[in-house]
Amino acid sequence: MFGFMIIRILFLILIGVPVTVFAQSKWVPSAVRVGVDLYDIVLTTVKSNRTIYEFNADVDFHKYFFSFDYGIFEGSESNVIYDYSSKGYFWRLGLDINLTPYEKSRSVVFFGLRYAEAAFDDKVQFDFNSYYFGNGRVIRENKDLYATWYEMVMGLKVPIWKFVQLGLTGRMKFGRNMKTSNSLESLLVPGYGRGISRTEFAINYHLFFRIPFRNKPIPPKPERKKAAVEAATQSVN
Amino acid sequence: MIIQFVDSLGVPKNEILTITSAASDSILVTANQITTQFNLPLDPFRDNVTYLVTQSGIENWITLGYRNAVFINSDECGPEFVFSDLAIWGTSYDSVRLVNTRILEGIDVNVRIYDY
Repeated sequence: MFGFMIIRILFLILIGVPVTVFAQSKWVPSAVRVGVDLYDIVLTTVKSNRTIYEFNADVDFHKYFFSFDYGIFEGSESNVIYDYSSKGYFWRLGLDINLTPYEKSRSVVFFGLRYAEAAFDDKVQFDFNSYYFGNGRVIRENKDLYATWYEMVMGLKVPIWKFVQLGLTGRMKFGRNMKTSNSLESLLVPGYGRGISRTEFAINYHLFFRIPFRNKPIPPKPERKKAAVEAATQSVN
Repeated sequence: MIIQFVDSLGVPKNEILTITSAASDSILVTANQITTQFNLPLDPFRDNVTYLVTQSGIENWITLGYRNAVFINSDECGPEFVFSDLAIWGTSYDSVRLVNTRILEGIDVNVRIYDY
């Protein structure tokens, strides 16, 4: 019985001490932010040939954010010549650095990198007249296509009311890799944009809800920087 | 896609022949053309084409395979066929050579037929 108690105490010390230290650490997350892309909702409402919903979430670790996005996409392009449609989903995973960690309003300007993947099907059909090979309807289809790419992102998240925040993210998408079938070069890749482009740019407008689960004080600006600023101010004066 | 006829030394050779497509029966080259090479269309509905070559009453054939992808560059241009990765699937000729697998319209010779 006594031995069991000693083991239990040792266990609590061994586990408890790091947990306590970690709990006080600046690396412990303080809030989860979840949101939606407002522009996609507007686009889905206004344009009949687009259905896009994108959900975003991030969690803070010190001055970094671990970020995850998930979206569904259904789009079509058609004119008198052809009908093209694409349907699938995408996700992004990445890390952002908070460039304004000392901002008292908790507004965030961030820079980050993402890895992204999309899985989708697409199809095109059109009538074609060939002088030598006759006339016919061409139907080309890709099933279970898969694309990956990277993104460099920069943006801001600004509190507007209590836990509600607005966000803006600019994205440069690059390094697209896509396993296409032999029959159709994809026109629309969910989450990426035009499949033929090697680089794509996009802007997202987000509505976020910040859900705090512990009070994380705004860190004071480092003294050295403060002193350097004061010294610089004095020398200017 | 360009087919060139050469002699045993590899020197381009003038030919008078008729080339038809096996799938559509269309005449692609008529016998009144005298030239060393022929720019032939690929079948946009399939991933292979068989050409029937009639020369002095003798018929030969050659079947070529290729990647046939549809590519939409913009709304204005609409869909385009992009042919690539040319290969010789079969032939009745004794000696043929795939010179170039890239298909650039009217630029490079793709297939050389050694016609003795």
